This record gives sequence, structure tokens and C-alpha cells, in this order.
Amino acid sequence: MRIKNSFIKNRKGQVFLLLAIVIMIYLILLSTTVFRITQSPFVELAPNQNQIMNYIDNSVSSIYDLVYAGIAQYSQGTPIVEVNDSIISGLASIEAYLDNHNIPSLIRHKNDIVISQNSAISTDVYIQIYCEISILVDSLEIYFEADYTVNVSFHLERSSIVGTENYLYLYKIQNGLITMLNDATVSIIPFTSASKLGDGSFQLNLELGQEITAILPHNVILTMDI
Amino acid sequence: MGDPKMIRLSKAKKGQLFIIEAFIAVSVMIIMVTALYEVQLATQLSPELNLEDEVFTTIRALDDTGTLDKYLYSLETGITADIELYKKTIEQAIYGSLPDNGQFLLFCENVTVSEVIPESWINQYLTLPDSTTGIDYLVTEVNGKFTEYIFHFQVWIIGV
Repeated sequence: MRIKNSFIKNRKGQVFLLLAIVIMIYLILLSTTVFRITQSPFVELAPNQNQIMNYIDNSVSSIYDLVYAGIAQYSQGTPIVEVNDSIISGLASIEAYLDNHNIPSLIRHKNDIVISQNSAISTDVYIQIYCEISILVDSLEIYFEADYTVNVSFHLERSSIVGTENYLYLYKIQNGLITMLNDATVSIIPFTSASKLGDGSFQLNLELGQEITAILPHNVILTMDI
Repeated sequence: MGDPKMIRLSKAKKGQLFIIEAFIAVSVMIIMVTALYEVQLATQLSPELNLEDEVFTTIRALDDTGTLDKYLYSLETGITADIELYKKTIEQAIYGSLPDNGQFLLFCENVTVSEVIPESWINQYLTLPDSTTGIDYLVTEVNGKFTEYIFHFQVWIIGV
């Protein structure tokens, strides 16, 4: 025992170095493990999960397409019932599209599809479609269920006072987000020239009795009476 | 076995030598750990090329900006200048999302009548390799009308 003790005492530095090396190896291993854990997710995605999500994403964009078409058709005089039917059969087409790509799905509107319109004599003429659509995908690779609130309206708004230097504003509100629509044409009867300001608005002189017709993107036609 | 003077000196200064050894060992340890940490921070895994996601994002952007809608409308109206203009826009956008050796072809199908639109082809002359990535994209509205078109994309990397 005494021999052993004196051996350790004489080799104190070396023993310490040895310990230091062991600790260092331990630390390297530990940090490597932590690094690996942070680099890889705990749950691996199914190999084609991204692909399926892209198709679901595409069906959501197609639902919005249907709503744009619905607003456009309604603005051109198609009765509400027909617009409703077209949207519902459009949802069936989207469902068929997903099914054809081996993504079994159910796409339904949860409540009635609400189409509303503001009076043409108001300062803000708009057509709005509100609906709630549920998407359910139940395949071997993925289970996906979501409810989408689709609330889209196209607006033609004018400044409230009629006279010189009036403004027209053309915009879309999609689920609360306002987008100014610059890609639109405006015609006024009796004729007044309107200068396009490039930010979704027009500057013009308005007078009582005029009728403004705006053709917005997706061929949405809004008419305002002054 | 070495200089006796040195041995004597090292025996006499055993404590100090031990401290110096310990100090060096600890310093080496700290430097190594720090270096390892820095290397980990600086090392970024090269992102895996996911052609499908890249191209899909571009197609979504083209749809959001109304380019796909306008392309389909130009195909419906048959105005050659418009068709060429939107073809060029789509071509530039898709090539922009592909690597330099990426290639694609595209055609559009009118689902209502189950027909491929002959004028809709982009890069029809290309020979398809053995394996490609296929992406379909559904559009249900063109210029305010309920309709149904599917864009069929084939994407691949040349020489892979």
C-alpha cells in the first residue's frame, strides 16, 4: 500500500494529465452527441410528406381560385344559387384531383357559402364571399385535418366628398389582409379622365350622377353610382 | 539518466512543476473544447437539393402573381404575343429555381375536356431522361370563370 501511495505521489503530474485527457475525450463525446441531437429531428417525416403537403397547399390555392371565380361571376350577374353550386362542384373537382394523386381526401364546406354585396350608391362598393372549408386527408402516409376560413372581398371605394381631386381606391381583402389592386381599369360615364397613380388608386374629378365601372383582376366588375 | 543537477532541481521544484503541468493540461483542454465548439458553429450541413419543393414554391409564386392565370387566358384567347410573353416569364422563373444543369418541360391539360393544349408546351423538343420529378398543379379559375386546368411539370438534372 505504501509502495502504491508513493508511486501515485511521484507520478502526480502524469496521473493528472491522464485524467485531463480522459475528461477531454468525455467532453468531446458529449458535445458530439449534443450536436447530433440538435441536427436531426426526433421524428422523421414520411418520405413523401412534403409532396403530399404541396398537393394540399395546391388545393387550398384552388379553393381561393373558386372564390375569386365566384365573386367575378356574381359581379357579372350570375345568381347566387348558381355561384354556390359552381363553388361546391369545384370543391368536388379538387377532391377528385387529390384522389387521382393517391391522396384520399374529403373537402367540404362547413356552413353556407355567404355572398354579400354593398349598395352601388355607397362610397365603398364591394362583393364578399365568406365560407368555411374543411380538408381531411387520410392516407397511409399522412393524416391531415384542417378548417380554412375563406373570406375574400373586392372593393371599389371613393373619397367621401364629391368634387375636384377625388380618389378611387381599388383593393382586395383576403382574410383581413388588404392588397391594393393596380392591375385594374376604370371607366366613368359621363366621361371624366382618371389618372392612375400606380398604387391601386386613381385621381379624378367626380360629380353627382356619374357611374363608375371598375374591372378588377379575375374579371371582377364593380359599379358605383354617384 | 539525465543531468543530476536537473534531476535535483526538478525534485526540489516538484510542486511548481506540477502546477505548471496542470495549468498546461487545463489550457489545452479549454482550447480544444472551444475549438470544437467553434467548428460546430461554423459547420453547416449543405442543404439537400429538393427539386420538387423548389419548383413548387416557384409555381405557387407564379400562381399568386396571376401569371398562370394570364398564361391560361392567353391560351384560351390564342393571342400569340401574350402566349410567348407568359411562356418566357414561366420559363425564366422555373429555370431560376433550378440549378444550372436543371431542365424542365411543361404542358397544360384542360381537365373539363381531358385534352392537352398543344400551344401550352414549353421545351417540348427535349428528350426526357429515364427518371424525372413530376409535379402537377391545379388551377380552378381563369379570368373569373370556373374552369379546371392542370399544369404538368417534369423536372430533372442533366448528367445525374
